Amino acid sequence: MNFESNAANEIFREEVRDFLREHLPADMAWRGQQGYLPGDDDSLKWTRILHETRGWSVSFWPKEHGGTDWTAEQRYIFEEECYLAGAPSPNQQGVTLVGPVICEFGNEEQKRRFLPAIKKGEVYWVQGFSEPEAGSDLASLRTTAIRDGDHYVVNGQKIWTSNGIWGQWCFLLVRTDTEAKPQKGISFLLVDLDTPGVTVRPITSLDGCNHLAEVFYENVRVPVENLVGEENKGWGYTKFLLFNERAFLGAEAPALKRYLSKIRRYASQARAGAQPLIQDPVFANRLAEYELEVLAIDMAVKRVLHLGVSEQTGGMAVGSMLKVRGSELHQKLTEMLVDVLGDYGSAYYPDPNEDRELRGQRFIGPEFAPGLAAELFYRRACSIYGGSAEIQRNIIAKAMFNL
Amino acid sequence: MNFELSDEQRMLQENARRYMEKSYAFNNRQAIAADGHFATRQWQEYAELGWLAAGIPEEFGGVGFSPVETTILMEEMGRGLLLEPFLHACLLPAALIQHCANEAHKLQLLPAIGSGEALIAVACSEPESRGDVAWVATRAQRRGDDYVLNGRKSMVVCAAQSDWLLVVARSAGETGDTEGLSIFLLPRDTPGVLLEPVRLLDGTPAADLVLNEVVVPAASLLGAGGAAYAGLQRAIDESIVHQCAEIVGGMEDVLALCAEYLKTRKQFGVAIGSFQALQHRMADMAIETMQARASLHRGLAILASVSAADDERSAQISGCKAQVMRSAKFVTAQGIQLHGGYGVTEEFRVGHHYRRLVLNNAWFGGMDYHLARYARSIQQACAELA
Repeated sequence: MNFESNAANEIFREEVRDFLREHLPADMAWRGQQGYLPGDDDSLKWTRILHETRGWSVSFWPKEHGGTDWTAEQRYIFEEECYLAGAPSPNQQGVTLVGPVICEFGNEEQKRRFLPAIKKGEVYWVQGFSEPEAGSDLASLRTTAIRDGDHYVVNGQKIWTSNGIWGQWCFLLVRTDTEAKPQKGISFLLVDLDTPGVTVRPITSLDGCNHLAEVFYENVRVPVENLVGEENKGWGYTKFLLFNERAFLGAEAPALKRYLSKIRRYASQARAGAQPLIQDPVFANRLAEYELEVLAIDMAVKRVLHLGVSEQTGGMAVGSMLKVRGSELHQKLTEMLVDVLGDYGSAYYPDPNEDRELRGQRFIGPEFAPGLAAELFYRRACSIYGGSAEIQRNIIAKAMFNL
Repeated sequence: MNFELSDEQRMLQENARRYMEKSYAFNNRQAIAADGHFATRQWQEYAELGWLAAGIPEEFGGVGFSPVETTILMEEMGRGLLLEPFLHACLLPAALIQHCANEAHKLQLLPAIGSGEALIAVACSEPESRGDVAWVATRAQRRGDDYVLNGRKSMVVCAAQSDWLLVVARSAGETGDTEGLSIFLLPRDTPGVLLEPVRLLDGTPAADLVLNEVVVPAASLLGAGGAAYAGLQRAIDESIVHQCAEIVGGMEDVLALCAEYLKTRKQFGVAIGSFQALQHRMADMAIETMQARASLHRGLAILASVSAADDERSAQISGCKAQVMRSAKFVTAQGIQLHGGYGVTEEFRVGHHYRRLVLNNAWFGGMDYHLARYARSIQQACAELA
């Protein structure tokens, strides 16, 4: 164990910074910096830029499918620098979630069909997991897929589908065996959302946006070649996916660091009476508390990246631990950002990724105000999505202490 | 950075853990604590184990370990609830001497600390310092070839047991100034040094030092007069990181004790670990412990950083202590809670970690001091940005 900084990593960081200065479009960076979630256009365009300029769009995939030979630390540096610069996140459901599942469990034909399109930013993927009656208890899902010749016929309803309105393809959990135990009868299907019988209905959330959707499936015919792996084995693939999601994205630590730098900057500009808000000791103490927690999470993530998931780092619990604390910090910090706005914390600033006519328009209040409240509302969901904080605590207690 | 323990580090850890588990089992420890005295025999054993020399450079007869290794030791001592003042009477004086003393003093004192021949107590804090290293009201006035010391130093661990005292006093400037601090080495029985002894919460002996017209020769100055602040602060920063390691070791023991207890203690006919309220509490305790360990690692990274300026380093170390302390307060308090009534008794190990934390919060500044200090560094950085 030693804590001297690694020169190669710092050189890599400079390389990423140079790349971002050169290739990240300014208007895209502005929207990201403000805290708006990227639209499908920004996400896919950024993936295309990464792919075409450096081949960095799916850096952590196996090399034969377009990955790089970056170390886990380099991947983290890359994500951190992208976040700090305001780069849009890619279409996570494609790049981070279904892509690795297809790499690991898909057949050759599926790899050929789906992976290049994700890598090149051509197709926008969404996830079809939760149902109205199956949230934390995901395995109780009821959407069915019944084999009919060369097709599965899918019927049911999915909900909380992130970015559902932009989805072109969906990876879907369906029940293919209604007799078996809940976990045993689930299959993992890839569905073209243009197929007849699919209806997408947006759900408006507290930020006024339509990030979420319900997706209805009525006699939707899905070719059997779109089944990933084996029938009734989908739960195993799902656990693989959820684990990836938690271990590497769980804390979303780069986003936490971006909040910190924004709070420092904005609270230096915003004034409380005669002095900058940051000079208020109560405000500064609160920020100090949060910063120290984030910096600890950041170090904990680095350790996990370096050691991998092992008994030393907390085994299967580690992703959940990072996710629980990370989610809490997302919520505290986005609340604090809105606090910085004072009166303007009450103003509604419409999302330029939802209503793209608004791009470039100026609004009243401080320059940095648009997007902050939207992010605050959005982040209420981060202790719910990917497994609620309570489910994560169950996982931790079981995995770490065998309780 | 590399988080993998080297073979040498792993061996150090395993040996220390085995020693604590076998020779320092809870019963033995209770017997030592009941005695209320400094256990000279134990101290000699630590010398033989090589612990006292661990952090001392090789050219002064030491092992030459870096803080990464000495914190591994501290962690095991925290896990096993070591009573002897390894930090106060070994690491801290050795660090002060390394960072502040001239070559002659180093040659005289460092090997003696490492071998256990000399016990040196450090008198740096005062009743009003509360963690502020520069808050020194004790005066050192030059008189001919001598200095005359007057003032009060608080809670000097093992003062009465020590052979030597390292006393921080002000030879110039006003209380609170970083300029004008000097460190003096004096024999414990120097005339005019009055000890007001006290037992600490865990039985460790300590004393307030009342210095009344204490005359010491100028040669007893450790390094240059009036210029001790930088080295003193560095030594305290290193001590705080070691303190964090001790606390993290203690937290891990609390987790292990609770996990065991929750599986064996039955109520309503079932093991209480089957209750979700308690499972979730354990999850939260695990998360806090992860954050505390990460903060310890941050502290080590800051100590290893060559680029950090002194002020920045100190503020960051303060931040690490604030975070470790906040996490540890939660974990040790909940450790008691999960043990029910047994948690508050002397016979149960878990409560001793909580009590030890009270000591660690008092030493070198508490959570509030360090959080506020880190907050001020944020304010300063923002002001410079604007």
